[in-house]
Amino acid sequence: MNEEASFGLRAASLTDPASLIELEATEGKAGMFADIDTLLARVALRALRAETTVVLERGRPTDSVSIVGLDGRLHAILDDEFSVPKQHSRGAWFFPEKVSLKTGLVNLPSIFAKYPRFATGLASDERARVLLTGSDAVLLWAVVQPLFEQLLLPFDLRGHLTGMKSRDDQLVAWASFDEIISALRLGMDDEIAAMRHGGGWNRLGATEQLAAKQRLLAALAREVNDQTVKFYRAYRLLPLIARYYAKAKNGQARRKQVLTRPLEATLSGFFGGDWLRLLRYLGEVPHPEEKIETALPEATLFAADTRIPSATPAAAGSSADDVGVARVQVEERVKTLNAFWTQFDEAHSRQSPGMRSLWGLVAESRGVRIGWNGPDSYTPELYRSLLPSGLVAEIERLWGSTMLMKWPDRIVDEISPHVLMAETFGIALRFWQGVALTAWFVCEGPISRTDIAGLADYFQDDLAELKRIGCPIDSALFEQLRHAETRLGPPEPLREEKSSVEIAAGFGLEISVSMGSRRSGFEGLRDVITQHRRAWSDRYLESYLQSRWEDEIGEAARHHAEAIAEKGKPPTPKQFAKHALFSVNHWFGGNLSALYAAIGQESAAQPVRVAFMPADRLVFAKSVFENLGGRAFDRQSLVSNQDDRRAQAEEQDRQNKLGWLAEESLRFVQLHEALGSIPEMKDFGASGFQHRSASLSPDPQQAWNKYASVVEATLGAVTRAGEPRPTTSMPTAAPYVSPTPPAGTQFAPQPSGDDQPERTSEPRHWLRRFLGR
Amino acid sequence: MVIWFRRFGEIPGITYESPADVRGRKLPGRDAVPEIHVFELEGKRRETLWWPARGGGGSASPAHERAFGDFGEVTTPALLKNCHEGLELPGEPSDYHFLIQGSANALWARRREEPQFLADMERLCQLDIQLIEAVPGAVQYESGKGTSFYSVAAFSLLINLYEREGSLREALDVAERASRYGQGDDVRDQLVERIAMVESEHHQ
Repeated sequence: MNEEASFGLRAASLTDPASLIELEATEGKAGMFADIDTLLARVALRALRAETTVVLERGRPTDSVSIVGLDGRLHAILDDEFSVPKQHSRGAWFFPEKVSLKTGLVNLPSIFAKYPRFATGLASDERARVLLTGSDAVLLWAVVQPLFEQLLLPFDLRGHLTGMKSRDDQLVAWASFDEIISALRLGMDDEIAAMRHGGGWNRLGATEQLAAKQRLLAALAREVNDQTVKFYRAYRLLPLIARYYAKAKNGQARRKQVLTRPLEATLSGFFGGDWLRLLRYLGEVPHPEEKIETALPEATLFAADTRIPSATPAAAGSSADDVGVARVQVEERVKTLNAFWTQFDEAHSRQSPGMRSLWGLVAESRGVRIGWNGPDSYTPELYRSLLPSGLVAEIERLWGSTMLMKWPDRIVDEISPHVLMAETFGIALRFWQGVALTAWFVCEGPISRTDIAGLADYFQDDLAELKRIGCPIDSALFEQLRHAETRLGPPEPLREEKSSVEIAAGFGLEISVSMGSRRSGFEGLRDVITQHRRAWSDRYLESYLQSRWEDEIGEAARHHAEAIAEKGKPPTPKQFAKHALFSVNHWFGGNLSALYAAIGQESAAQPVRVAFMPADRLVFAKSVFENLGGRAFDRQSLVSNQDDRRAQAEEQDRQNKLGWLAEESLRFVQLHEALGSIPEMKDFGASGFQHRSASLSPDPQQAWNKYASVVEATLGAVTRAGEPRPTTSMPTAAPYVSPTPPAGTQFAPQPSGDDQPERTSEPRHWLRRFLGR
Repeated sequence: MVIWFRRFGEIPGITYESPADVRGRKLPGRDAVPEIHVFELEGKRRETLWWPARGGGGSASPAHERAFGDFGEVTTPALLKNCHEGLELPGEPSDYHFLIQGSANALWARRREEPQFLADMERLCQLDIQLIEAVPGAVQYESGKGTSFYSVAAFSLLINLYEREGSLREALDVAERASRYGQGDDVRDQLVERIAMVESEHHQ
């Protein structure tokens, strides 16, 4: 300890924020916070004076927020103090990846001014789910939201929480509010009196209650000023100072011992995330063992080096062989994605009226369907008949295994390898498939999910992402499609079908239904799309696919390095699995150790490959369905009486539930592989199961036992009947040898006759198709 | 017996004033008059309405046609206008109910982007409740267990709207009206408990 007590030590003896502000002033410390105090005052005062302060933009998958009303100088302060890279550079690596921000709470006064009767509800609607990457979000998360949560607590207590809290809980909440208004020296006793517990709130009518809330808001706007904001800062700093000295020996404490989650936000909010700045403020020196990471090591991914694997220098912690194996795994997947693209492109380029639609060429949904498989225009697993068999097999080999987030020590069977492959390909495939299908359905009917004019809007998220990664779609595509659309023929009714049914003796019902429309001229749209798709592919496909794996693997590497920077040690495989999931499953067949090698880290996991999922998923699920008591059920459209109607509805409901259970049997098997034992109901998801379990037994546990035994028995029967035996093995240690033909070799196309217009064998009645039967 | 009205405002027990922009306007279908068709089914006399229209007609009234459209892309002012115009057209009580309910649901779904229409949603829900109280058959059906009522969104929307503002008495008033139609009993009980909790503060 210093001979004279440090500033911090003297501050630690204070309990009143005003005293701390006074001490700072006399000790020349106040200047350290001048910028932050100014910024926070601007934000808080603007909000409390009923101006919109935070703007929320809804987005997918996350929203974005921005603080408005700041001038250039305040923006510069905001970025300098709160931008994540700068906080990282000062050693703050503790940020949660995503946070929920109550932006409506900060805007509550302004919402109240506009819509007083519905204000608290509207404010609670306004919540943002954001990635904590922008400086605005960090300021809100670290400072502004905690302030408003506490300051506006009465609006919760007399809003949606009215009558919800016990007396004791209410008193605790009111004490928290009293604590902050006392700390901030806000004099609002009169305005708050009626809202308090026991203050006579129940005697006020709705109008009077609303007026009371408005009086409190007016008082806050009146009372809060620049000095209040300094008091709030001191109110937040006092617990940090107290904790520091509670953990310190001779005035020295390690950051990790001091910082709890709330105090991390305080460090971020008032010291720019800088531990050393806090120590300067306190007048202390760093702990001799303190280590602060101010930058992450540059992630060097194996394939950044184009030399052959054996020549690749081993990164720390992983052998050159491991790195080479991992790199080959990515390379063969990239090669297969290219091969798929060639087939995809050709199939779309030769698509013509009269052929079946290509909806189904790109697998979209995991699992199998027991019942309705979609409308007539959708062909499940169309890729099986349109792609060369060798390519289908290669996709199933490369994407046939996966890691489940909770069990990174096991590599299990992927339920839908073709879906995983499509996910790996990513947004470019989704976009080009979507554009081509829209053109098809606009022309060939029966309906399209968007129209040509709406395409750019419909795909705006994908277009923005493709632009961000440097593989933009030429906007001329949409202009040319709109032009080509003007040359389409007029809409013609696609099919008009008439049905007549006798519903009672001598009483018939005739129904006439028009099933969508078509327009001639598809080839014009197709050729525009083909030209653009090929131009895009020639220019960007290689770099697009490279960015796919670089981004995903690089993101995993970044999370790994951040975890080390924050905690001083690598994450456990389970902790890492959450961030590694996409890269492991898209590029390494579910093998976490290969990802470790790719990012130059010693593998903390030695996953075991476990495989006993039946190869023919649909046949297996159908067997489970039958063994559960499921049957094809043809619900009658017309019934003779109410009892019959109810009986039909109940049976259909039962069959639907059995169908769901059968479809989910694949996930059951996958869980069995991951767990190494028969899953329990909780592993499977109790609520989803219990929603359907009554179809097996009134008692959920008995239903689960029955379900598990049926699935296991079916699995055993399928295996005995010639399916591959269950296997458990370590992933191959040697580099995979890809059975992919050398470059330039073509996969032999399957004889499918798909160039010919489809001829359906037995047209079903339209009503059956409509009802999915 | 099947009943129909020339416009929503003519239903006995309803207090409704048409907005100025649709009042007295000549709307397509406004003068439609249905034919009543009678037949027997399972030994019971049944009635249906047949609404003649250009091209044949059908069982859907002009108001019904306003109730069941795809309003996903429609602007909110246009959606409200459609509702107001639909209420000026002939229809069965259930047609008006579904028209109002669909519009109110849409306004609720859009409240984040367009909070200025929440008051319209509240007004529509109150109109729907008036309708149901005046003509319960609008939301009634026969089942094996006797007379039942369809789930009415107006009740849950209004209860939610008031409850989240802390306006428990207003919410309870709606919940009590809802309970007459077999809905919201549990919500009503919770609101009673919560109001009692607020009342008890005074004595503690």
